[in-house]
Amino acid sequence: MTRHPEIVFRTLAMPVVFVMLAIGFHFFLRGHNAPGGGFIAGLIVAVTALLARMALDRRLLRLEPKTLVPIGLLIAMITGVFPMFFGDAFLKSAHGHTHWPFVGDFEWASAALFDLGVFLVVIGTTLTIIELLAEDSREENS
Amino acid sequence: MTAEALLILSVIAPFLGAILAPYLGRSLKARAGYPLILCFLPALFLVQYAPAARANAPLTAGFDWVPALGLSVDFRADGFSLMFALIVAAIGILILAYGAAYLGKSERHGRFFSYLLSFGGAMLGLVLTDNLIALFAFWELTSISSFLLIGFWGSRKASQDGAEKALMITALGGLALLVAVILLAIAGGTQQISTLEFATLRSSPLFIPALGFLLLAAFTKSAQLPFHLWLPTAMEAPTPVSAFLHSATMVKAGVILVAKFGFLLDWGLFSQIIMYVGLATMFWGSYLALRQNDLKALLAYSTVSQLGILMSLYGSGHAFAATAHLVNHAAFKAALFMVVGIIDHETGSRDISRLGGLRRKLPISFIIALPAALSMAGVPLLGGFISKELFYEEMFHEGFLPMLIAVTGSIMTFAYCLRFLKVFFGPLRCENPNVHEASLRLWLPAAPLSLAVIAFGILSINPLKGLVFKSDTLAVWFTNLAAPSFGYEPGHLYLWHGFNLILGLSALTWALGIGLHLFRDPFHRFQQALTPAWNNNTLYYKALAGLEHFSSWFTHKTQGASFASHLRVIVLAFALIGASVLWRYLPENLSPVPLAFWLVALLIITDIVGVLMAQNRLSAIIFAGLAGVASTLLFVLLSAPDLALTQLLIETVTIILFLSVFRFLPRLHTYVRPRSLTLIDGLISLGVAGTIFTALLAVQTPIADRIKDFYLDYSKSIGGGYNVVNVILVDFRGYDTMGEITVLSVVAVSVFALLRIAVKRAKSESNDD
Repeated sequence: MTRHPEIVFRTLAMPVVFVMLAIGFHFFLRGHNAPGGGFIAGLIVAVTALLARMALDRRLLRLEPKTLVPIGLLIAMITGVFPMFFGDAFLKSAHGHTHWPFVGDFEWASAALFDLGVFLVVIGTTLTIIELLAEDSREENS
Repeated sequence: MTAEALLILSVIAPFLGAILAPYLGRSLKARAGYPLILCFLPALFLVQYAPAARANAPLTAGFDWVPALGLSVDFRADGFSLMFALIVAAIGILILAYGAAYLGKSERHGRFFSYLLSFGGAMLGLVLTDNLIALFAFWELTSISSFLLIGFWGSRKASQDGAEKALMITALGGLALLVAVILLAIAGGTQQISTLEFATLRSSPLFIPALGFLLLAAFTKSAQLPFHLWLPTAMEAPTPVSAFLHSATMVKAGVILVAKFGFLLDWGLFSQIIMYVGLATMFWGSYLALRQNDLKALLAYSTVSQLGILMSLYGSGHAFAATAHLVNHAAFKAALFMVVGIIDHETGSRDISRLGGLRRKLPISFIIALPAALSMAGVPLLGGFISKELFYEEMFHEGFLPMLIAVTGSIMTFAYCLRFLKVFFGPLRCENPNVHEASLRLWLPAAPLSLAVIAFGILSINPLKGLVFKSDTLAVWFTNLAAPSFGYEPGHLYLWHGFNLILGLSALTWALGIGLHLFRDPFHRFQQALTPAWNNNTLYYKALAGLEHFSSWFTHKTQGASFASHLRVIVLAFALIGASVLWRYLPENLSPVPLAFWLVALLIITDIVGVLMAQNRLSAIIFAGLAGVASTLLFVLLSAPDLALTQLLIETVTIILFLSVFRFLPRLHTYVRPRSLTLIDGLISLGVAGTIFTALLAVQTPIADRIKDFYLDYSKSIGGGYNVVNVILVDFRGYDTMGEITVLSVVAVSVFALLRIAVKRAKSESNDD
């Protein structure tokens, strides 16, 4: 698939990858108050990574995508377990406002961290499966 | 550190060690076992709460886990639990040290210690937990870590078989335990073991089924007849594992279960069943142990037999004698396994017929093995003698038949202990010409156990109190620790009971045991002649093959035909059931369908017709994608931007996925089928579509109205976000999401594994060509 990418596809891919990454992170961050969230953002970033892989033959991530799966799961799990140290139930959420220097008022929610776990698991799973299949078909060709 | 934290840490620390072990194993190799000893120290420090446990004021600790479901994590170090936790921790420490010396250079050390520690944590959790559900979870964890450890040398056929057999049988027991704990929790009205009440349970109709399942779990785990067959094959595990899991700790889980729930089981028929199953196991185990030529197999059958003793004692309510024997057995059996490991390590053989006179070459191992084996045989001055006397005494009270089985079993036990020791006596026989004593690192961990065996027998707690023989031995400290848990009065363990019938029976046992050993050749021929054509093992394999045969037959019958016919049955059944339900409960007025939806539906239908008409796969995929994109329009119309976005992205990913597997698929065939069948299929499809359509219109409104307001009202105040969909996903239904991403991860791992296997197979096939 990657041997003879179309010239238009290849030229356009670079800016598109950046724009899509930006959209992906934007969707992730705004997820709590507007359409978006970890699952959607994860899919966007996964598709972007696939685009980069196919058009530019370049990996967006240094790490193997499959390592993202346990990392994401661990983050979600830790977010869930954390309130238990304060005598609360598993996955009990917290949110509030904090004043940061230079940034100003920042609204945070522990659910965002849980969402980060979802985000990473989705990216990891999608990329692992598709890249493996794509790789196999490449081997088949050669 | 507070006491509660120590109790929780004692269970968690081994699991933390299990996470660290692979990293330590990479840099320290086998020596990683030494620092990992630290993980068992918190459990060992629990010893300071022994006085409290003795005074029946045990240390407890816990926290809520899911209060909404009444789940909590509770630990309770009552006397018996504490005593067993101490045994697990102490032997665990010795095994880690032993394993560090035992493992070769090229083993996967990190993995080994990781499995071993996760077992340790699970076992500590199993004995210390006070929650029924947690008990089940820890129980299953011990089965799984045992499976991984038996199959540690997974490339060997025998290891695979042993691991599989152990898992099959113990997992069967695990399922039974799950049923049992659920029934007990329902019948008793609580999940806390310590607050279960006999009277409440007894009056429930679930009581007897619960006990039945509990017994099935206990018998499978503790290798009681007829489930004993997994234990001997589990000896494929590395010897440190056999010493730890399959003699001293894990196999006692079933006994622990019977002991912990003894207050329920000490009741009529059940107590008789347990006692006789235990006695039968004791007899049969020692009979089979006499037949073995492999040292490890001999010890394995002897473990089966000794577990039978424990089971019969706890089952018939003689907890004092049982606990005394449990302590003794843990010490002498672990020591014996370690010695077998040393013999195997140094001579390269475990075959009794090829070994002899090793006491000259392995003097220290001999000194370690001697008291342990004699204690197992029940020779005076050693711990095993005292507990065997108690066993005789209790069985004497139970009646003539139990007594007879106990004595015959013990005679054979005596004989196989002598058979074990034979490798140290006689002329030197060994295949390795320059055999020499094992290194200090290997025998030192076994030495304390052997010392304990001696100490349990003769050492008096208070030597100043007259004759040593007339006072309690050290084992009594352990045994009486468990007293409050079982409600017995702290008893005494005297070496000398005076001249009585029990002592006479013991003397008879020794005499006949020696006799049996001297006439072992005729007895062996007798055993050979008696060997039946089938045994439990052949039955097991027959049953397994039968099960495979049945499932392939069943699959073939139900899913064997072409995919189309298979689908036809499912879809038709669905449509018929759905239609009949709708026929009876169709509401008066269905939800209206706005015009815009009809247009989108038309678009989707067009795309699907395109899929059906497509001449090649690429256009079919594109049409399917278009249908998916069109359905996102539906979500937009319903003002559900999150769903629309998700659907759109899923379509994109699906198309990419399709394209990447494209090359693996066979060429698209046009199947020739009769026109009538096409017509029938079309009608079925229309029927299904009609059913789903009507069903959706019928149920849509009422459900949405009930739930909607709650989420809209509380999204901001509880979840802290305005996007209700997302707040539901990550907060209100966060548990679901947690489950979903776990499933997703499992899928990723499975797909990865399957594809890797497929690629490997393809490669090896192309290499063969």
